[in-house]
Order: sequence, then C-alpha cells, then structure tokens
Amino acid sequence: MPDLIVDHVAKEYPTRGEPLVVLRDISFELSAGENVAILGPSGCGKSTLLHLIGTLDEPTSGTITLRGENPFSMNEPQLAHFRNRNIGFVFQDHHLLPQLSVLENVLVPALAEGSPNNAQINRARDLIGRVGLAERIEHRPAELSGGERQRVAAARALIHNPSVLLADEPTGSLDRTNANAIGDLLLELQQQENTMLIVVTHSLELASQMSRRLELDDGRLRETE
Amino acid sequence: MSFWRLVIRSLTYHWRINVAVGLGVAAATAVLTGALLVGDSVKGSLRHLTLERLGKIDEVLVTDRFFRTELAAELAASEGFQRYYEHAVPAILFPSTTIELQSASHTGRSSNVLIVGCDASFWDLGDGVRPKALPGEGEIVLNQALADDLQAAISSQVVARLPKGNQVPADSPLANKSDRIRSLPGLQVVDVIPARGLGRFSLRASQSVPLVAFVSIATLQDVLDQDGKINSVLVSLKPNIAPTSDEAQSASKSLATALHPSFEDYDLSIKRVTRNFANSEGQAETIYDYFSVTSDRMILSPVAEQVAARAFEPMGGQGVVTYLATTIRKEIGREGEGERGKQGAIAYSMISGIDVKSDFQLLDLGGQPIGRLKDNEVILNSWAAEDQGAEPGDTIRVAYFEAETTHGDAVETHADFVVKAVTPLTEPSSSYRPRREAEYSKRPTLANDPDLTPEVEGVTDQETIDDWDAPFPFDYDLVRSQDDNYWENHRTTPKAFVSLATGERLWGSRFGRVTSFRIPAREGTTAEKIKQAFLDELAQQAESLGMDFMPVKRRQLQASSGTTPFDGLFLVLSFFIIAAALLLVALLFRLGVEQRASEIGTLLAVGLRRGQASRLFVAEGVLVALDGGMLGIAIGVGYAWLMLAGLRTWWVGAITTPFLEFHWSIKSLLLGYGLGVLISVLTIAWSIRQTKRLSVRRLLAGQATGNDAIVYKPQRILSIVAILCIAVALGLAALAVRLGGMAQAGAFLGAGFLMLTGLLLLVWVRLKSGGRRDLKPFTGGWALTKLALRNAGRNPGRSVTTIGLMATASFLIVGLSSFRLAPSTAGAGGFDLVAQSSESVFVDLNSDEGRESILADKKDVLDGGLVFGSRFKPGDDASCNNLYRSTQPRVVGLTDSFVKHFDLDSVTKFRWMKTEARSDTDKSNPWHLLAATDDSIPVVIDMNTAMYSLKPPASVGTDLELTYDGQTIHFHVVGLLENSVLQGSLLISEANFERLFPDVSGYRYFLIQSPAGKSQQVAEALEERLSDQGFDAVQSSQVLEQLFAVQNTYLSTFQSLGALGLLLGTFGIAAVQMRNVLERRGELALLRATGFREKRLAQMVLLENILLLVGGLATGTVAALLAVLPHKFTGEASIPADLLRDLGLMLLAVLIVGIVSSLLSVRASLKVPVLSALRGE
Repeated sequence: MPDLIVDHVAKEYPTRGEPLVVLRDISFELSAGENVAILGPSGCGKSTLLHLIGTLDEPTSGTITLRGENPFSMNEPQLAHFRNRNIGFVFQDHHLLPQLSVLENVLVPALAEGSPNNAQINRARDLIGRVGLAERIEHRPAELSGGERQRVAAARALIHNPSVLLADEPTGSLDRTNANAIGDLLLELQQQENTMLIVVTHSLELASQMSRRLELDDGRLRETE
Repeated sequence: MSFWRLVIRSLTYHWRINVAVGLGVAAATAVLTGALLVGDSVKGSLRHLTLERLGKIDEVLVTDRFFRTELAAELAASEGFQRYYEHAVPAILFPSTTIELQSASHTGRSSNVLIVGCDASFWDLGDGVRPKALPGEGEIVLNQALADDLQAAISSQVVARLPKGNQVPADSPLANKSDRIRSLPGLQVVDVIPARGLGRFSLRASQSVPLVAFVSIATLQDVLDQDGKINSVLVSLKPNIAPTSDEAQSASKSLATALHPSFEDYDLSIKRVTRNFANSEGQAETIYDYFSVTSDRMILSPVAEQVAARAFEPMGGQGVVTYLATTIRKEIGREGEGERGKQGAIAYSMISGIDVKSDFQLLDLGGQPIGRLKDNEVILNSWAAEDQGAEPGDTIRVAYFEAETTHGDAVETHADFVVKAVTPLTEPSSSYRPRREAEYSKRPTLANDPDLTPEVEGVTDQETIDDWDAPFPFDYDLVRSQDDNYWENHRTTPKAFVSLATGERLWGSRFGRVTSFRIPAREGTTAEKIKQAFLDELAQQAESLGMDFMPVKRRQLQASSGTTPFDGLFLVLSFFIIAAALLLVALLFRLGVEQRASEIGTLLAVGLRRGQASRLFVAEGVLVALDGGMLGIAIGVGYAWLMLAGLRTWWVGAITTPFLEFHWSIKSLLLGYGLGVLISVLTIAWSIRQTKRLSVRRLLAGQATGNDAIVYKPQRILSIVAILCIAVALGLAALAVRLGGMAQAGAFLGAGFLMLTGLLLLVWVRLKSGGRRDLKPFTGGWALTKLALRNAGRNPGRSVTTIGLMATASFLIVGLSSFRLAPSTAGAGGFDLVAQSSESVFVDLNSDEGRESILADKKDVLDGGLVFGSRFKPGDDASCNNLYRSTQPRVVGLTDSFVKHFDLDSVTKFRWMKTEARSDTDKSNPWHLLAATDDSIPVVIDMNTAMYSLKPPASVGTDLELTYDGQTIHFHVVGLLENSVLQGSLLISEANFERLFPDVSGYRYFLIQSPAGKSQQVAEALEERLSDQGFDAVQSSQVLEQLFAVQNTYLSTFQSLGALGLLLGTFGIAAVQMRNVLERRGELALLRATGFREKRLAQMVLLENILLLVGGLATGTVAALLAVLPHKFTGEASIPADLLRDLGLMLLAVLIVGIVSSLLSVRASLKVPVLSALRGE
C-alpha cells in the first residue's frame, strides 16, 4: 500500500464572485523511497498542492492520507505533532533563524515538543556532516553562502526522519552550480533516509533528476515523461 | 486621484493602525494639555483664594499703634479717595493672638489667630459669608478652622489674649514685660462661619486655612482702653478698577496722599507746660512756658525724632532725653560696686539730657547762667548737691540701666561726671497730693520742672516710691527717707542735667534717643502750629511713620503666580507618560509603515521620489495627529482633573491643603494641542525617515527593515567598560556611606546609575557577541527559554532598547526613593522642639532666673536642656509649604549664644549646602558669617527657600532686595542650609535684626534641646506656663516631616506617574513585539511548518517578551537598590518598608500588564498565515 495517497483533492478559494478553483480532482500516490517533481507554470497551484500535502493547508474536497493517517481529521496539537514527525520542508527561502548556529537551526524542529535529546543532537551532527557542513557546525547563517544555507534547511527537514520531504522551489534562489548540488543532495538524502521526496520546481533540470514528473496545468495533474 | 485623495483613502483603508497611532497622539497631547491645565488650576486656585479671602478689600492700613476711628471717615470723604475707591472700613486687626477654649471637659488653645475687630461694614466687603448675627459685647465669632482647632462650638466660652497697644518698647528696662497682654475672658461663641469668603480673611498670602476670630470693635477698644480708636483701615477700589491695573497703581498713590492722620494719630502728644509764680508783690512771673511733645511710647522713634527736630528747630525746639538713674552719688573710689557702695546714694532719680541755652538757661546758685556742658559734665540741682555734699568740680557717679535689655535682663552700668554747677531747686510750700500739684511760696526755678520726664506707667503716676510697679529690678533698701520726701515734693523733677548729646549717647537706643521735644511758647507759637509744622515736615520728608496702605490684593495676586511652575512641574512629573506615548506613536506608526512596506516599494517603483512617498505618509500622519490631538485635549481635561484629585487627596502633602479647583485657559489648550501634535508629527516624520535607507527591492518584498543577517562579534572594549562601570558604582556606593544628606543621595544615585549603565552594557555585550557557542544546545528543561533568549539576541539594538527603557524607568522610579527625605537630627541642628509664640517672651530660658520665673515648680524639666529664643519678624512663610511667591519672608534674628553654641564640637550641627566661609573659624561654624554689620545684611537661608520660594532663586553670594515696613533692605546670602527645620525664614544676626526692626522686642521663635526623653514634658510645661503668650512647641521631626512632605510627595507623584508611563510603555513593548513578529513571520511560519503547536509558539513569543520585561525591570531594580538600600540603612532617606512594597507591587503590575499586552503580539503571531509568510508575501 502506498505511503502517500492523494485522492481526488480539490482546492478552491472564495472570492467575491465565483470561487477560484486552484486544484481540481488531483490524485496520485507515492511510496517510500520514491521521488517526484511537480512542474507547471507560475500560479498553477504547485505550491498549494505541496502545502496541502504538508498539512499547512486543507483541501476543499478529497483526502490525503500519509501512511494510512488522515491528518485533516486531527486537532491542532495532533496535527502539529503529525507534521513534526512525518513531514520535512525545504523552502525556496531557507528560513533559517539568524540568531542560531547551524547545529541549533537543524535542531529547531526538536524544540517543538520539548528539548532535543542526545540522539537528536547526534543525528543533527550526522545530517550536518552528510550535507557537508561538519566544519561549519557552529557558524551562524550570516556566515554561510546561499547554497550552504539551503543545505542546512535540508538537514533541518530531515531531523525527525520524516515520511515525506517536501521541497518548494529549493533551488529557486541559487545559481546553477549550487542548484545542481542541492538537487543531488536532496536525492541523496532521500535515498539514504528512504523517504518520499516531492519537489515543486520550475527547473526542468532539477525535475529531470527525479524519477517521476507530474505537471500541473489548469488545476489538473498529469504524469509526464 | 489627487495627493490628498490618496492620503484620505490610505487613512481610511488602514484605519485600525491609524486609530492606534491616533490614540498614542491623544495620550501625548492629553498629558501635555493636562500638565498645562494643572498649572492653570494651581495659579487660578491661588488667585481665586486671594480674591475670596480678601473680598472687596484691595488695600489695608495696619499699624501697631492706635489712631482715631474718624480717620477712616475722613479718608473716605477725601477727593483723592473718592476718585478711585468705594469703601474705607475701620477695623482692629491683631494678626497673632491666642485663643483658648475653656470648658469643664477640654481646654484647647490656638496660637497665631487673626482677631478682627469689626462692625457690619466689614462684612459688606465680602461675598456673602457673614455671621447670622454680629458679635456684641462679650461675644465672638469663629471661623470653622479655628472652631475645629479649638474643638469649640456655638455657646462655647473662649478667652482671647491680645497684645496691648501703644506701649513702651519691651526691650527697654523701663517697659513692663509682664503686663503686655490683655485678656478677654468669657467670650461666648455666637456663630461659627465657614472658612471661605471673609471667613478665611487673612493678610498673608498662603493657601493654608487661617484661624480667624471676629469680635466687635467696641469690645476690643474697651479691653485695650482705646476708646474711639482703631489700628486698621480696609479700603476697596471701585468695581471697574482691576487691582493689578495701572489705574490701581495710580489709585494707591492717590490713597497715600489722601490719608491725613492727625498729630495724635502718630502716637504723639503735645502739652503746654507752664509754671507761673506770683511774687510777694502779687505780680505774676512766668518761670517757664513751653510745649512738650512726647510719644505715648515714652520715647520718640528715630524717624519721628528726625522729623520733629527739623520741624521744631525754627521754633527753638530742642530734644530732651530723661532717664532713670538708679543711684547718684558723689563719692567714688570706694572698693567694689556692691550694695555697700550704694549706701548714701540718691536712689531712683530722673536725670535729663538737655542742652543749656537761651530757651533753657539754668542758673547757678549765684544766679549766673551756666554755660554749655561738656560730655563729662553734669549740673546737679541744689537738693542733690546738698544731699551728696557735692560742689562744682566734684565727681559724681551716675548708675543706670542700659537702655536696651536682652532677655528682659536690665543690666546696670554707670558713668562719671564732673559737677559743672549746682542749680537751685525751690522746695514747695505744699507737696504733691492726689490730683493736686505742689505749691510754692518761694519762686521756683527752671529746674523745678517734673514735665521734663515722660510718663512711665506704674512709676511716674504713683504717689510714693513704695508704690512703684517698677518693670526693672527695684531695690527698696536703696530708697532713703529723703528720697521719698523728694518724690513727695518734686515727683519726676530731674536731679541732674547732662548735655543732650551725652544723654543720647548713654540712654539712646534702637527705639529712639529723645523722650520729648521742648518748644518754647513764644509769641504766636501754638499747639496747632507745632502739630502742623510736624505734619508738614513729615510730608516734606515723605515719611509716614508706618501709616502706609499695603496693596494687599495686588501683592497677593502677583504672588499667586506661585513659587512652583506647576505646569512645568507636571510636565516633568509626567515625563514617562509623554515619553511612553511618543514611543507608542513612533512604534505604532512604524508598525503601520512596515505593514505597508510593499506599498512604499510600489510607489517608488512606479516613479515617485522618496520624498513624495514620505510626504504621503507624513500627510497621513499629520491628519492622524490632528485628530488624535483633538481627542487628546478632551482626555487632557480628564487627566488634569485626575491630577487635581490626586493633589487634593493622595498628594495633598505637596500643596499642604486641598484647595485646588479646576481652571483652564484657551492658551493652555492650544499650547497642549499644538505641542502634542507637533511632537507627534516630528516622531512620525522620524519614523518614515527610517525607511529611506531601504532598497526598493526589499520594500517591494514587504521588508521594512535592513539586512536580516546577524553578525556576532566579540565586544571586548565594551565588556571592559561595563565591568569598570560596575566597579566604579560599587566604589562610589562605598564612598557614599561616608557622606551625608543630598551629597550622599546623589552619590548613591550616581552609583546606581553607573550600575545600570554597566548592566545594560553587559546585556548588550552578551547579545551582540552571541553568547557562548554551545555544542549541546537547547538541552535540559529550559530549551524554549534558551531559544527565546537567542531570539532576543536576534536584534540586540531593539532588545537592549526595550530592556534599557524598562530598566531606566524602573531605576528612576525606584532609585529616586533615595531622594526621599526623612527628619534627621542634623536637619533640626540637634534641637528636638521648635516653638513659636503669638506674643514675645522676654526671659532667658537658659538662665536659672528665667526658668524659675516662667516654669517655677516645673523648672527642673529643663535641667540639662537648652532653649534658644530668637527675634521674629512676621512675614511670608517662604517654605515649600507655601505655594504663593514669597515677597516678604519672615525674618529670624539669631542670638550670639545660638551662634556660639555651634562652636562646640560635641553638638549636633546643621548641615550646610554651601557657605561663603573662608576662615577656619567660619568653616567650622558658618553661623559666624552672620556677624558682619555691613549695609548688606548677611543672611542664611535654607536651600529650599532659596531655590523655590524666592524669585529669582537665590544662592550663596546672591544679593536680595526686600521691602519691610516700607524700607528696602539689602541682604547678602552667606550660607545655605540643607533641608533644615529653619526653612521658610531669613536668618540674620540679632544685632542686625535689632538694627532693621527696632520696634520688635523680645523673642518669639525658639529652638529647644530637651533633656533626653523629656521632649514631651518640656513642650507641655512651656506651653502651659507660657499660654498667655500663645507658646506652641512642635517636635522638630514633625516640622521636618511637614516640610519634607512636599519633596517626598513630588517624588511619589513622579513615581506614580512614572509607573503609569511604564505601563503605557509596556504597550510599546507589545508594539515592538508586533514588529518582531511581522519581521519574523517567515521564521514563525517555518516553526509551525516544522510542527510547533500554536501553544508552544505562543509560549516562545511570550517568553521573549517576559525576558525583555523581566530583564529590564530586574536590571533597573538591581541598580536602583544599590542606590536606595545603603541609603536606607546608612543615610537619612525616608524609604518606608511599605514604599518598597508598593514599588514592588507597582513593578509587578507593570510585569502583568506587560504580559497581557504581549499576548496581543502572540495573538498576532498566530494570525500570520503560514503559507503567505513562507512565501514572503
């Protein structure tokens, strides 16, 4: 059974007139170890779909189940816990906390429910090592390059070994070299962690690195080559 | 779309934030307007109080002598009066009397009561308050304050004690010191009138409620033996003349010229003295015929003498001084001056100083004219020469009392003279009998003149010497039978004559030098001409002999501008509220700008210049400020009302009595509005200016702040500075322990301030350097707190500003407690009691005799104690307790013994703020600086009097020019006392006092050092035994507390308003948090995305807030405690435990309000849409 099932999901936003339909009848499935790129023009609803999967937003209709659980039936604390444990985000803007070091930034999700334990700290160190920043573990974001910051964001997303890693234009703010490096890193980490990876991107180059590519157009999703 | 249309659209679209900014402007405007209105109210209330207590009375003539009642009517009928004035009301005023309540259950006594002897016309000068029935004979009306003080009611019986008028100066040995008070016993209280309108009539400018009693004029005239006489005239201007107008000034000049007192109104008498003798042939011969001008006070005042001398000189008038010689004897050279030495001497004789000349040509025994006397020459009459067996060339010793006494002690001294001649004295054929003069069968001589001697009550009017009620030490053993015989035959006829110059030198005093003027009754010389000559000369010399009208209303209205600019004071006291309000305006406006950063970016992107974009926002801010300001005026009225309510209740200590009413002026409203709007607009303009540094790109991205990156750097230099500050603070605190008074308070506050600076620098260093880099972060139970701490370090400038604001506010609020004053022994100079009497006390209460005479069986209570009496010239209370500006402060003349007391090292000394002392002696006892007798009188004043009551403020070295009794006196400030019990008075030496105020006799102001533990007993004993004098002793600590209440209350007010400002400031912190949240919305959204629950996120933001709040409060409080606590334990600060508790509660309240307000920012943080925030939308 697939770990992620997106079933007939639609998303509308109310307006003064007719509702604005962003997503129509979206369905797809994904299993652990799989990765997928979602492509499409600006404003087609790619990020909306990603945020629905990430439980940051709720679908107007349809269901999303992750490892058999429907997060939208949960209350706020349960949902926060669910997100904390099962979903990792990487955004175009890294959203690192400038006052924290690399290690501390990676550990931020561990603070959501208390203090980080040694295992989590060790995992954070390990992840930082794996993203190639072992030497810069004490550095603050201001002391890192754009690519390095995004690597830290990737490590942060994986701190709880999430079921799904969601990347929203992760290379959008990077130069080509760094973009490629981040794409490689995400795939490498996804493989190492055996997690699902969904990447929303404009970059065909990045999308081509993924095993599957889905294109969103006029609110509908279709598989592409 | 025009510029203003865009502005209006923006204004309404962003109405929420604009309303918030408008409220901030309203708060600032309200406080500014309110403070100005408090100033209006204080001035208005003082002015109203003046108008109320004086009614229609504009000018007052009050003298210490009695004059004809008709003078008032004569004045009213004069043209000069009628041109400007309406009423001239006769009255008898005694500003300082004592009233006692006598009942079976209770005896109450009130000192310094103003007694008004008046008739119905007095009440017509008021505004409606009047007794139901005018007091008749044996009746009295009290005002409510006096009734309360006495615990008297209608039908109560009271006794009034009044000074007798027109008396011999009490400091003369010939004055009766024990009979200077008249009592009005059994006065029945027939009404108690409210203490408003004329019910609080007073000539003194003070907001305190005066104690006033009203009796009929006739009652006072009767008891004082002053039938048909008064001592005051009250006049009122016509209603259309404002008291402070130029016309009123002209009116005053007209009034002075319209007043025409008679010769007798000046206390002068004229008598024609004639002695005729019918010789054996039946022919009448005039032995002498002259007019004698005398004063009812035995001696003519120096001014009257000067006027008389010039007026009478053309008439051949000459001054005469006749004095009492205790003994006259020929022999000298005997051993000692004891009683044996006086055996055989002539006792108690009159001796005259008069120049022998054509109009007073004494002859010797041979009938030859006696020539002019040298200074050391004397003429004896034949009786005295025979009695002493003296002949020309012999030396005569004349013993007499010094012309001025100290503490009522008559000091005997003597002078030796050579007998120049003996003048014959004719013995009468029939001696004096009651109501009949002596008769002569032989021709009397010029020396047979008892009228050369002025009348001395109890002496010159007695039948025998034995009957004398002598005010001086009288030794009956000295009186021989021949002395008695002389009295029977010649009464007050002088036995010896010296030159006038010698007489003036020996027996002249500050009260005057001559006892009469002798004007020969030449042809054409009449009493009327003599009187007119005197009055003409008086006018010529522009002298009034104290018959001056005082423009009491004008002066008091001028004084009602007050000592303290309450508008400025409340602006300062409200500083924190204004600052907090402006902070809010800035923060809220900035918040609005940040929310609209992309709007600015868009405007710039589409081609508007930055200046144009700024003007749009500023215009919007101006409109908001104008609207907010209008609201602020309304709130300002409420704020002023609240402040006045505070001053009438909680802070009444600052104004002594709750008299304030709300007053307002258009000027204050406009000024408050203008200032509020102006500073708000400037604040807004400053806020918008901050966005000028931002790139269009960032603005378009909705970012209204600079670069997000935080670069941490070690702050070594600042660390060292911080540690230095703390070290110096501790050192200064240690040093301050050795200091005292304000220096100590200042040092402690300085130490606290350095500590505050040091701690804030440490916070800055900690935040700026990023703290310790922990490789095992966020472990343990404080993970969220640690994260919150890190978040506080995200923007060190903003965090330190927040902490700094809270810390500074809490430091000032708590730390200023170190300036609270508490009574100290140094403040009272070691004296535990301060006393004042309504009437003078003449005895020296440091002498055994003095104590015996006053305290009798209770004299032991003063064993080991000290009582220093001081001269006292009544005047304005120039202490902080009086809100009226002081133009004529009371003057205290300090005795030499008081000054010398402080030469002793062992005594507690007053604390000096600053002195002009140069020599070691003066430095160790600056009271010696008062000794100089230059034209400019050295004066010591309390620093509070110098700084707050005198205008302009005085300091050491300042020359003051003040007017007393129509005379301008120059004072030179030689020292300032620090927070002393002597606040409110000018302190000069007794010698200078006597020179300035010769009419003031005795002592009315006392500093008492009781034997240990007997303070209460001493006070009770003195008050009981000196009740006639209205002796009122108060604990020094109580006096100091009352004086310090003003400063302490201002501090309390500042602290309370500061706390209010701090509370307002916490909302500002909430606004800062809102800005933080806005700036960090992406981060916060990420945290939610990574699984932070709303509650946890709220906890984190709340923690950040609390950390800043607590950090600020703790930093400020720690620094403040360094300033306050050592002061409390080692200094003299009054920091009651309950104050510290209240301050603690206040800070707790600030914390709670801070938490509540920060919940707003938490709420805002949760409202941030995660998705749009993550996208940076």
